Amino acid sequence: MTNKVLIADDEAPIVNLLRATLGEDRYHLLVARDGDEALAIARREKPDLVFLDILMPKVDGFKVCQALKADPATAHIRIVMLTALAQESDRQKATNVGADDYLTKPFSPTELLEKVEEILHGSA
Amino acid sequence: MGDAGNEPKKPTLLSQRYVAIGAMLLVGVALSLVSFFLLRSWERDRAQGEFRERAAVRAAALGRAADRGIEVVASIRGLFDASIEVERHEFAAFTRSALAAHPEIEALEWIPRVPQKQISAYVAAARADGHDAFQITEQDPSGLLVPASNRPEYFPVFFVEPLKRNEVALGFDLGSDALRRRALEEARDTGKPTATAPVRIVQETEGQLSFLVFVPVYEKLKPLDSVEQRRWHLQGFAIGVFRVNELVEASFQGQRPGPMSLRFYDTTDRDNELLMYAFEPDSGPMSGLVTGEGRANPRSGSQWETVLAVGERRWALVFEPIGGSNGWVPWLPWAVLAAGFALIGVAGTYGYGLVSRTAQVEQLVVQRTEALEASNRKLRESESSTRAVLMSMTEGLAVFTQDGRVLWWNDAVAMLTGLPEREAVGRHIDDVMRMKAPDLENSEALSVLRGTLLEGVEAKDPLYITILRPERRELSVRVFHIDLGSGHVLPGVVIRDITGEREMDRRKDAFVSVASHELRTPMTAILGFTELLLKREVAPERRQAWLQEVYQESRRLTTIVDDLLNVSRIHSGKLQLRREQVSVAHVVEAVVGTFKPTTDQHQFIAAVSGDVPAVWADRDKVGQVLMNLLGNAIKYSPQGGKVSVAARHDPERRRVVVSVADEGIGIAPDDQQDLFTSFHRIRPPETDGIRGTGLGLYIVKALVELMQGEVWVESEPGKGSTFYFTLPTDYDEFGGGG
Repeated sequence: MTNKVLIADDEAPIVNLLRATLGEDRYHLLVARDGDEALAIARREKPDLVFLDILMPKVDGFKVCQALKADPATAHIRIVMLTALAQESDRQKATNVGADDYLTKPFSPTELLEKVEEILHGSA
Repeated sequence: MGDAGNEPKKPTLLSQRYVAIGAMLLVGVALSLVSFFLLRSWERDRAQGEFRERAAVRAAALGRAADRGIEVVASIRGLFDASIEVERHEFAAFTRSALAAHPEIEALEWIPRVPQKQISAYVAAARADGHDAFQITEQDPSGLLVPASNRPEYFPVFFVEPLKRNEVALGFDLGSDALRRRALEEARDTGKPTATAPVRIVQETEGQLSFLVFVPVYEKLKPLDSVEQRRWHLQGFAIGVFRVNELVEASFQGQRPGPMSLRFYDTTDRDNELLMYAFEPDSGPMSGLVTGEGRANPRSGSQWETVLAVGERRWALVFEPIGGSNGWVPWLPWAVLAAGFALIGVAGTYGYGLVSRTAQVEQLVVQRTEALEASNRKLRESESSTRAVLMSMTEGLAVFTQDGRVLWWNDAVAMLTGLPEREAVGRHIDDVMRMKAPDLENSEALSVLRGTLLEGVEAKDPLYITILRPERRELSVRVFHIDLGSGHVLPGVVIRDITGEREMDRRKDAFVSVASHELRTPMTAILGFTELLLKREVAPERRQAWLQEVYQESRRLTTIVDDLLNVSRIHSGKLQLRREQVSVAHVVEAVVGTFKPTTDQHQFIAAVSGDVPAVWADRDKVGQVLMNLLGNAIKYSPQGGKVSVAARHDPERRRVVVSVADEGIGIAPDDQQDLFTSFHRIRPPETDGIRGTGLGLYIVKALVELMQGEVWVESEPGKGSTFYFTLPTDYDEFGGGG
């Protein structure tokens, strides 16, 4: 059974990199270009994991995370915040809104894969 | 102040004072003189009165002495009336005691009336009494005694006492001398004691004047009612001889008459007033020495005269004070005058000194006042300039009283609080805080501020307060205390409006944040794909695609770095502009040329007419502006869309207007405002996948404005946007802006 992973980012190169890193053959990859779309897909598809960019059009990543975690139907979805923001306050804020992990751009694809394995299979 | 107004005033005031002193002195002099004259007059009157009183006493005493002498003479008549025959020794005995008591009486005599036929009998009787040489005599013109010539009757001196010094007078016929005879006949006719005019008597040895008083003696028991009867019955006369000097001295009763002279005159015959007696205190009495002398002229106006009736004669007594001073104290008024003048002198000197010193003091006061005013003026000037500076400071400055009332605050505080200074002064800080509390974001800051202000809580760091109305302002409030000494402390605040700084900080943070974000995205892609390429064995076409990603993101990184550098240069004002004549047509052609190879899905239309003049600008910067605008036009318009670049001349405003139009998504009116601010990227859904730094239009605007141009946009969502910018055609205008 392949895990569903939602990539929510408005930057095409990042989406492309995540696609390349994760591999279309190993994961069922979904892509959202803004916050609204991310919420809609997450609610509809109930992915196992969401990579959530913070600075996104329409609804920012924090709010998307908060909404998903607040909804019992989507609260189980693992969320990794993915952002160029590196301040400690942002990391704290991510934790507060219920994010499971936090990755700072630029990130190493190897590291990201390890994190995904850990989150998806470590807990399963 | 009115220097000119004060000048004439001072001397007037001063001279008024001198006039006052002068007037006072004049009044003093007048008072002294009046006192002097009054006193002198009073003193004279007093002395005159005293003198007259003394003179009157003297005159009365003289009158009494004469009366007493005449009474003595009259008493002899009593002797003859009481006796049938008076013997010579009886007369001597009778007169002896009277003569002893009255030294002023030179002699008392009995003068019988002797008809010619009885002469021999009388001579015989006298000779029988022991006067062997007795005969009746008279004086010849030379004054010698000679036997009397024949007359019907004689009035010889028959008895005389004291005999010793008067013996020569025995037998002298008093009827032989006209002067004596006149008194004699008057006495006979009137029956009254009658005095002679002053006469030198025959027995006189000292040259004195005397007078005789005749008292008629008539036959006993005969009627004497008429002159005829008295003439007929006359028996003889009792006579008293008085020496004037002795009479006067007797009246003095041994006392000096005082500092006065006395003269008396026999004034019975008004045509022939005779000096009888003269007394001068210096030289003493000198009766008779001036016989027949007329009335002397008075030596002063202060003489006093009275008239005595003595033996049917009138004596005028003239008293005169000696030396013109009739016993008054002449130095007293002068002493008073001198004392008065001395006092006036002292008072005047003192007053003059006082006024002078007052004037000096006033002068000093005026000088000091002027100096004080000058220094006050300086202080005021300095104060008002300091105040002007403080009032117009951009930082808010407020000072409170110790109990927390507004002492003053400047315009900046007035602006922030909405309370002008004149309405704020005197208000308590709590009052002001209550008014402002609803306008604050965090009213707790106020209680902290209150604590530091009024309770002296030390606050090293400024307090931050945000006012929401009338517009949001962020304030840094620093409390200070002005120590005026002796526990008097005025609290104050310096309020700095840090809204701008905060905004700058926020922009900087945003810049850093966005820059970081914008840089990290391509970096993440580059690093990530590179890592994948290095670690994974992948199919060639996939590797090609990944490398393509790396290449594109590297180019993007370069663009971003360039933009950031430009923005940084613009921010710091370090952007250097060249000034050159630029042909807009050439630049448009060049820029469009660089874009054509990168996209074959867009249609470029460049329409720059030949009559567009050259502009004064920096060729490279104009190129950059066009690059950015064309880049945006391509980015936000669909494939196959038209991108038109045009330029036209606006001769009126001496501008060339360049426009870049696209047929893209357009921009909503709300978004157009913020379009040219830095890092503002509008991201409507249609812009998905369109990437930018948000710096492009910001840079366009900055560059165009540096070249003294304007930039604006006209757009309709869904139909496309047209960006315009202008450039000056005049060198002056370009250069004028720097």
